Amino acid sequence: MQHYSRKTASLAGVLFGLVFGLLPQAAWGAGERPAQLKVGVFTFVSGPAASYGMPAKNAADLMFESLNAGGGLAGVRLEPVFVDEAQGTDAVVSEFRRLVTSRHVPVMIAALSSANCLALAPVAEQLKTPMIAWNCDTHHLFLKKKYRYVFRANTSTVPEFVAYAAYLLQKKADVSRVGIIDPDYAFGHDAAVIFSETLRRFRPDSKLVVELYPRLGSPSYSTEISRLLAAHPAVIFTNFWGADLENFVRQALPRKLFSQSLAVIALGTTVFEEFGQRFPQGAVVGVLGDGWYHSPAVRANPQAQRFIKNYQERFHQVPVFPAFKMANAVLVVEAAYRRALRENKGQWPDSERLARALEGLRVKTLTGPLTLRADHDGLTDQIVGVSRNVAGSPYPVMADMVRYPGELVTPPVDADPIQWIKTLPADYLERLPKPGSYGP
Amino acid sequence: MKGPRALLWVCLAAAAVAVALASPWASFILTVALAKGLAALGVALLLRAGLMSLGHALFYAAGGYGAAYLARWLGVTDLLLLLGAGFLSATVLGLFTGAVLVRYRAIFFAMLNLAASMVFFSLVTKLYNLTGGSDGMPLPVPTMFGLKPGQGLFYLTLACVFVCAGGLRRYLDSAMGQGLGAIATNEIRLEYLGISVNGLLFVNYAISAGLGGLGGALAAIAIGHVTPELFFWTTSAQLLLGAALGGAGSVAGPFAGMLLLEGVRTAASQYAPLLWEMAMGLCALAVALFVPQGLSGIVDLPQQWKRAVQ
Amino acid sequence: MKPILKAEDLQVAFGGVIAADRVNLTVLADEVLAIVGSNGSGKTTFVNVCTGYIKPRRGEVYFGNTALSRLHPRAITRLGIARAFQIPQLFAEHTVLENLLLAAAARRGFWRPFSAISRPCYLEEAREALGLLGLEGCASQRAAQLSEGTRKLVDIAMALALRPRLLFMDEPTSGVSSDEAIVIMEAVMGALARAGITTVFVEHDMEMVRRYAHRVAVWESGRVVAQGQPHGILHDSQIRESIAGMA
Repeated sequence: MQHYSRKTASLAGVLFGLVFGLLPQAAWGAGERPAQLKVGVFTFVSGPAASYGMPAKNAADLMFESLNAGGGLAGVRLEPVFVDEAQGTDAVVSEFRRLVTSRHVPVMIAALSSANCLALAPVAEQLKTPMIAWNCDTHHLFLKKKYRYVFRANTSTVPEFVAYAAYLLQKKADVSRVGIIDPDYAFGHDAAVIFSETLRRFRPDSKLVVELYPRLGSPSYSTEISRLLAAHPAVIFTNFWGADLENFVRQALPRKLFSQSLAVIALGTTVFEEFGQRFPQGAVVGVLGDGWYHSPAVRANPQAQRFIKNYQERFHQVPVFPAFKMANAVLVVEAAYRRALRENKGQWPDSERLARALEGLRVKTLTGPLTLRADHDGLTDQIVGVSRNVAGSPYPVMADMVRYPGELVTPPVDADPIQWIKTLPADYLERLPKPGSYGP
Repeated sequence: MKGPRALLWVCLAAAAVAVALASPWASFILTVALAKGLAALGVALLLRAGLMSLGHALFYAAGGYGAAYLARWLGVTDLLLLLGAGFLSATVLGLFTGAVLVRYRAIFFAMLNLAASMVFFSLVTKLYNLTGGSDGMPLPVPTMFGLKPGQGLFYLTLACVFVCAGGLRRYLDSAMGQGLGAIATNEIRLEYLGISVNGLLFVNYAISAGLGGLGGALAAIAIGHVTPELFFWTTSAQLLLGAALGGAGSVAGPFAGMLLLEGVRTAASQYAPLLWEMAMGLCALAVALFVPQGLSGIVDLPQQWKRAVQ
Repeated sequence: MKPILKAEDLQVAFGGVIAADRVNLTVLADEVLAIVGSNGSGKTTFVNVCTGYIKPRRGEVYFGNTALSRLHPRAITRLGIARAFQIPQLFAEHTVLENLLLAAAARRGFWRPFSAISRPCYLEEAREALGLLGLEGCASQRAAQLSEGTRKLVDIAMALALRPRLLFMDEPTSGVSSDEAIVIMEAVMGALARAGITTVFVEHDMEMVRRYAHRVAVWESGRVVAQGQPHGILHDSQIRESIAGMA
């Protein structure tokens, strides 16, 4: 027994050490202008989701550098504090709390994953810390919930996937037989419902002939491809992304899946570089928003051109849309601070004033206009087009582009999204801009 | 020697409370670490019998989801009721899975536990309308007898740790507890003493499931959200790692292991946010290499060195 | 004397090998029965059937009126039949005293989660069982560290701590030097006699049989070929040859 209590004694020592090691750093007086502005940035820098998370991290680095090079915010330098979302929801919540309470980070750009956004929103609310969601697009985030401190710098799944359906309908594509293959998680299931409901609103004869939800990270899609081939759908819709999208397209190409059916590869533009000219021609593609690096708006925006140039020089890649989403979220933080400073006669804003400055904020982002609506959700345009190889380009471009104005494809504040889709006016499609109306 | 040991535990509690008072974030991370420690204690219980569960996340997650469903279906926000729901759902699940799994040993036991947890992981991810799928489910801000508890959750967690650790300490001193170690060394003799080995394992499996559920419910309430990743094998691996790091030989071990893991992860996110995985791996490796009995074996090191010198 | 255990028409086969061929054998209350025979003659198989380790193909073993052949070892143990093993079966990581405490607790009150195993009543029984075999000196040693002879004694002590009505011992002196063997058997047999436990023991050493057995059953090829008083049986030259030749 003696032996045992000695063991306990040293365990106690270990515990003590740990516990005091975790004590927060000295608190710092709130209110005055800080020496630097820390911004929490939550993204995936490891694991499979890093294929979208790393471009965003790179974009954040560039944006903060260029902001600081331009004198920061009223002389205050900005410093990103990165958190890897791959640590899991509990650790992400814990990091959020730590950044707020012991490192006094006053504003967060969080998060990429919808599950993390949903978990963090109540925490941001409880800690009264403005949080700007930058990539998560679940429409449940603001549905029937009123947040004071939570905002989103991008749109939800509803406008994103209504846009693809509208594009097909406007092009009078054959949508009588539809096949869906989406990843087996909320993003995939949500998109399937929104896409097929929108088709059915205008073409009640549209039928789902095959619906497949392989698990995230499957290495092989051969059975799924067989089933898609056998079902003979006129349209195949997928919102695969990252490695899943690459695997699926790579395995479907030799089996001529994309010559049998018209493909809607919602996030196809993110793998243009990987596939080059082998990417299926004439597939409907887009960017879940307006973050297309080659859109007329981006080409006309000198700041965006600088960003693209710097990005390509440093990372030897084209910035895919998650990079633009992050860059735009940084711009939202900047704009909110500038507005708060202006409206408070140059006095440094506390989190309450910052949150009020975010409300209804309009920002000219790298890719187009962004409005934070009354429900705090972002409103941006949606760009959709088709993939096409052109002479002189190593990879396809988006052709036949359309830019749907955000307010036309987004349900009004507080509307039930599915109900809104089901009751879209009969002349809705005529009121939208036509495919091919945007850009050359 | 009961006196000094009790005193130590009291000192520990005082330290934890002091930290919690100093920083609300520290109380949060301590809550989560101690909650995971409860689940790791359940894993350690089976380790004593020589059984390694690679699927204990099942009960940890069941605790969280049990609490989340009570809140979702019945609108309950009372902390104790939520905890009860988490504990009960994990225990009931443990009774069902345990009835089948206690017949297996070694790698079969480990893999079947893993399989059970992964089946639930797939189900919870797939049954989108029922479970919220990958987006998970929120838990409400809890109340305690109608009041907002504030730091109450932390103190409740601390109380749970003390009650469970104390209870388990007594349990391990009983014939049933001693029988666990006996299972690891000689099942035949135990049967020839008239004891049903599978029966004893079944009871312990249920206890360890209950501990997992209690820990899971506490963590889920603290975090405010449950996602299917709770069921994923990486959560099981974390619990197992915590139990092994702390040392399954003492009741305090799994808590020490979990605190170490959370501490390292936090420190890594602070000083090398992009290298946290490597830091955790190195830490686990260091313990495995230098203190194979786990943290609770650190005390024996000087003795071992002395022996090595002689 | 009354019969305590009755084997009727037992038949056991492993693949093609017949290990028990229509065995009929009765153990009488309070006797010490030695089972002798060459290797592979079916002695241990008989013990295994009587303690539930092997199910017979046909036939039955009765303990009083209870049929044993379909029962688990633990159920048979709870009826009052204990067993000591040829290779000692101990809890290697526990001390000798803890081994005995577990045995004492197993007899009654094992399933009480919050009552300490070191309760006075268990301690008393455990010490008593240790005392019977003169094992008090090694009570606090870990079982894994004991010599083979001591391990055998502890194994038997655990069976004794169950306070059985009938005890099977499988070669209590095998693997032990002959000097040690005498000491062990002296201690064990004395203790059994004092406790009044009916005993069946498998033995190779005819000297031990002559000293301690009341009755001998001779096994050959799965059959009991002879039984009777030790001096009568052991003087039969044919039997001596059959045992000695193959032992």
